[in-house]
Amino acid sequence: MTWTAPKTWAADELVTATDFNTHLRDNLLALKQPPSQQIVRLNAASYTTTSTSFVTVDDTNLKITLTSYGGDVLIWVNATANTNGSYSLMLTVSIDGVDQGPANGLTYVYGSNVTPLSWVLLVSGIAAGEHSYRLRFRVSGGTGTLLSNANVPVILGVREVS
Amino acid sequence: MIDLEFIKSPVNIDKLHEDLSAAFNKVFIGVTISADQVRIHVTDAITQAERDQIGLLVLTHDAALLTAAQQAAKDRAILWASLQKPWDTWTPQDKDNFLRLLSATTQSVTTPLKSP
Repeated sequence: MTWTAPKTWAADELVTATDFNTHLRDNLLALKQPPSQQIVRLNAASYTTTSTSFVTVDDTNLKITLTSYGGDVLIWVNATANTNGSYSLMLTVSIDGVDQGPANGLTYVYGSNVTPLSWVLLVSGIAAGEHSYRLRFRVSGGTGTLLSNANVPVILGVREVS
Repeated sequence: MIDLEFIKSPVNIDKLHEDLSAAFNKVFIGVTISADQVRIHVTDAITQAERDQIGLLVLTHDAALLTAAQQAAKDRAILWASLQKPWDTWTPQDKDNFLRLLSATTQSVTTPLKSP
């Protein structure tokens, strides 16, 4: 349901059904069901990388394109990861191609122990319109692995919250 | 950054990274694999000749070949397996091998953790 900037009512203005439907019914429905998408990726095999610069994990299956009405969006990620030695695997999310967070991304795992990751990020000031959200990863060295199979998904979600 | 995409399976990512890094150090950034999709990340400075050479290297990649580190790990695993027998059957060489393996394990455990 489309969000419409609420009308400013004038004194003694005649209230019409169209106004009520547009500014009350439709906006309440829009608030009830904001723009939102979640991907639960059960890939055929793990995602692995040796890149020390952030690269997109899966530009086909772990990318969300969402049209929002402007304001804040909440992003969440669940993953299970490790590296093949004394290295770190770092994760971030890009919005329209811009990686979020500092140079090391938004979180990381270190070493060969398989480690669950779960984090959320609230991003303010997203302009109205269509935006792309991609999960990205890199390593400090060695090989990093994001597990993704029938039992261990990688989850990426985005929801407008204002 | 440019991604060169190939379909190739199986792939030994560590070996492929090592080979690409050795041959194209100036433009090579890394490898990402998902199932049979292989992406080679390179800088924008890559030439057409280098693209062609990288393509050839990926297509002729043999996943059965190991890096030096992988071969060492495999050798250690074989050595550990050879020691899975009663103590009274251990030879002096077995005891030497055990101490060598124990020393390597202790070194890796005591390596300090560090942040990225």
